[in-house]
Amino acid sequence: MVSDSLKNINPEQNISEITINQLDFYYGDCHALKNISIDIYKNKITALIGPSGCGKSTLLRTINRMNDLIPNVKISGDVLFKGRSIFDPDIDVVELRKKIGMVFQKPNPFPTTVYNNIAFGPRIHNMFSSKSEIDDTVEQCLKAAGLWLEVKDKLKKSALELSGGQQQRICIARLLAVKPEVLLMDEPCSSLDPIASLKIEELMMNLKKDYTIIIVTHNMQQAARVSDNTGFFLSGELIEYDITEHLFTTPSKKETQDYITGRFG
Amino acid sequence: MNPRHSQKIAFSVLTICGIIVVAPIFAILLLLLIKGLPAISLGFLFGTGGAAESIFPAIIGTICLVLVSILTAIPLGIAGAIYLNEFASDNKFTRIIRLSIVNLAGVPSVVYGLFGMGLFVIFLRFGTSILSGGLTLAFLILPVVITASEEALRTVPVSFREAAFALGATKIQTIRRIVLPNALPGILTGSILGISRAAGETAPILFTVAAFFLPRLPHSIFDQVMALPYHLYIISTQVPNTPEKYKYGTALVLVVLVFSLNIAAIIIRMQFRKTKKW
Amino acid sequence: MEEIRKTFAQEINELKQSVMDIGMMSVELIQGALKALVERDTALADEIIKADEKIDEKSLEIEENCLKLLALQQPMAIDLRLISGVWKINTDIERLADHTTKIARKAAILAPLKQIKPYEDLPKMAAKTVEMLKSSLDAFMNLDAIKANEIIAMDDEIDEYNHKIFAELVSIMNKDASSINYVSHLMSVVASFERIGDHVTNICERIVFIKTGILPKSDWRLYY
Repeated sequence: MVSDSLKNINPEQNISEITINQLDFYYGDCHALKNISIDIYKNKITALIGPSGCGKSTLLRTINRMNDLIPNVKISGDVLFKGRSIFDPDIDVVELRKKIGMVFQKPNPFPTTVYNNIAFGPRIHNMFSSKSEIDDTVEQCLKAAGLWLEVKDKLKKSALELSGGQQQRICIARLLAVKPEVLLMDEPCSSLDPIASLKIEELMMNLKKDYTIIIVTHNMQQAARVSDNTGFFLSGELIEYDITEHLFTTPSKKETQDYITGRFG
Repeated sequence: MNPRHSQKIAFSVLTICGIIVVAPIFAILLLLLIKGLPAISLGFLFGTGGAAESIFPAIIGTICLVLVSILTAIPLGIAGAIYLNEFASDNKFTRIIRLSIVNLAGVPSVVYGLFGMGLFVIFLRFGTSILSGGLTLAFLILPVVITASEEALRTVPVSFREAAFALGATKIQTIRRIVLPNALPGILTGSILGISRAAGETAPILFTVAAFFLPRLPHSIFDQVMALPYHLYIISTQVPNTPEKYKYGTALVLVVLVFSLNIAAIIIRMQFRKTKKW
Repeated sequence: MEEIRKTFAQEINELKQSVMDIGMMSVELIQGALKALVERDTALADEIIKADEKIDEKSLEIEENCLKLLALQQPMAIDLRLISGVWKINTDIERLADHTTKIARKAAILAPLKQIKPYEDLPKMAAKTVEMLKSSLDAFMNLDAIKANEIIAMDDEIDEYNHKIFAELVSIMNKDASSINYVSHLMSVVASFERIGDHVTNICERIVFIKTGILPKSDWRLYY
């Protein structure tokens, strides 16, 4: 399932940030993820593609333990973050979610000012003691999200008055404020227009040097444009995982080829 | 029959129904105004002299009762709603709780009175007092507050909570900072409706607090007190020869009080809808 | 499994067919050019030269179609390799057709001159290139990488003919200085057939790429 080309990659260039070992996931009786093993490499963008309902979002939500909030869930296998299991009883879920942040499909900024949105994270974690430190963080995060110039005069305006693309970038900036190391993006562009989408893609390419990014997307061209490595999922299984360029020019599995050429359903 | 015709007929029928529904309110108000307005005077409203001629003690009594009941019911109700909506999982226990709330709303108010008498007046030895009456009323309006609060909490989209969790917020932090502030208008509306109910109930306060004639105003919550609904009942049935204008005047004051509270609740709700941010 | 992108699949098939068409047209040109040379037929030579225009037109059409498919259909994997492969194969076919024009021109020049010796190996060499081209077109339609590799090996035979004929022509020139004019033109013809063989080899390497995704190694023929 993991291609030879990925296995033969120079280990210094590719440090595994998140390792998933034989993960099985059940929603009640539904076997949503089947024996998934995959390495997510540091400072790379990994795309997870596949048809609807094949388990990609479930996998993403398992990594930051958002699935804890759903009842009737059974997990076996392991997910290691920086070598430590995220299911370890010693692990503080709050700390884990600070380090592994998530951006959702539909932008969901809080119904408050732009400033308060970005400041939310630092405030609840008591990260700063003075207002000026929070001000600096807000500015830095908005700059990192490519939004500063557009909203610097609108910090006191409600975040909900911004356009969809801007709202999504607010969500990203909000996430950056808690200083994560991994960004999980669950179809971040599906509710955005093409230009807004491209801006988010540019943003991801810029963020890659400081963060590890995993993106779930339905848009194959986006996965091809943006990611370094791509994993193809089908019915809860990882069919193929390879360097993006290889997967899209010379996939090794027929199912992968059928899906990405869009010829067969 | 031509659809346009049947539409016209349907509209007419519905309009007539609408008028029939609304008419009683106006009829009541009109009646009370005609017969009660003559009684309204400063002495009537603020005097503490005679039994039927001045209702100030009754007004104060009603206010005290309402205060005690909302100070009890609102915190309890909100907490209950938060538990049910944010923490409880869908198991038998939760379903029993919800069933109980529905049933609580259906209990006849005179039964509440008896319950209040049994628990607060006798068992807990509070005696007939503002405390007993207020607590009884609190239980009466609890279902209203819980239901309205739960609905308000539910209108806060799940996506806000998810976003907060994904940032590493605990459930309590999320509720405190995101859910409650955005549910407040709905909770407020429910609370005000609860208050207006508490103000207007007679039966619960029958056994637990009400006195007919107390010349002085209450000193502590353990005092008995007059209340508008009970006062109206007594002067209409037990006291002979009460001038009609006083009866209608008392009723008018009570109705105005309750209506104002309801209208306030509606205005708050409308304001909220206008500035609804999501 | 049902096929979803039927229109696209059809367009791909049409693209393949157009390569087949231009390929067969080129086969006819090679055979015609040889005939013009051997039978000293200047009229035929003129026809061949004119016919190349049609090949150029067709080649342009194919190129435009490739561009269109790339822009509009976002092809991936096998489709992408096919379209990019066709682009290059198209170029190779167009170039080898140009060589037939060169041969035809030489045929016209040589026709009025006195023939020095009957043509023996040259027609065999030409026939071999025709065989290679026809086989490669079949291999293309079936995306048969194994067959393509076999055809690449056949290029060795072309090279053998090339050496043999070249040596023979040199010895003729050494014996009879007046034949230099004739022989020079003939050498150009031989070189053209050899280049046609190279282009067919390129085509076969492309077929291997389309099928397997493996790009051809650097051209050792440069050092030959």
